[in-house]
Amino acid sequence: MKALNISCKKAAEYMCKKEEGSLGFWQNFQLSYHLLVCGLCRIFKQQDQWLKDNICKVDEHCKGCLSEEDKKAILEKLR
Amino acid sequence: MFEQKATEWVNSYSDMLYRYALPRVSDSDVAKDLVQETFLAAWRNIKTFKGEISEKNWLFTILKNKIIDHYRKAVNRLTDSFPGMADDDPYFEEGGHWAKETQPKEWGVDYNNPIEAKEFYEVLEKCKSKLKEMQNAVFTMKYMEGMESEEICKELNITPSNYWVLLHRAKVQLRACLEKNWFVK
Ligand SMILES: [Zn+2]
Repeated sequence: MKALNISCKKAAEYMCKKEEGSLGFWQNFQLSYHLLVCGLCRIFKQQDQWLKDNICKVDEHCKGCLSEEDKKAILEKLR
Repeated sequence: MFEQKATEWVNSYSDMLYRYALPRVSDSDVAKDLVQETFLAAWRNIKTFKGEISEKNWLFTILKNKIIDHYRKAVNRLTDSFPGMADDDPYFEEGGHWAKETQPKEWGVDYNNPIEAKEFYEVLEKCKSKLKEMQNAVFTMKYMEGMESEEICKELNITPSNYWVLLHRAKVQLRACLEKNWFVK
């Protein structure tokens, strides 16, 4: 019988694969079991989901802009 | 005519394009270059622009391709091994258990709500820029561009197993960096 318990490292890897449906039946079972018994990985899973939901907000908050010189340089190139 | 159009383009779209490129490539000089190349490519091909999509969307499409090109070139520069692929993983102990120092801690936030503080996003950008280039590439293409893993592997010419390791490590490292610099100071 294959071992039911997997390491935290494996579990984090499986979480990645699960998102894309690349996780087999048995692996899925191993991951569910691991999450049941491991509080740290439950925290990781929650934070991972939160990160994915929020990463795109970086766009709204990015306030960088080009200097007048940068813009002039682009116009020069277009000429 | 030319002068007017070019100035109008640069004034209307350059900052917007730059703000899109910057968090994706995590380097302001690279982001500037990509914006410049985008305008050049658009300008050269202006005759083929049929107006089926807006000028703005057209420019963004070009920029997105330039960003992926940039990643592809980065991969090609790495000849034998990818940094960020080494066997040792500082976030896990030998048996694969979370390393004590960096194991996940509660953040004490409501995970259903986004964070509004703009300082947080500066920290997030900084943490992202600390990822190895390949990790950043895979992470960005997946979560910011919404590409499928197969497509990413094809574009970057990497194997699925490389892809999974890179993505997984990017996430573990980003999480730890955010925790250290924002959530649990
Ligand atoms: Zn665990």
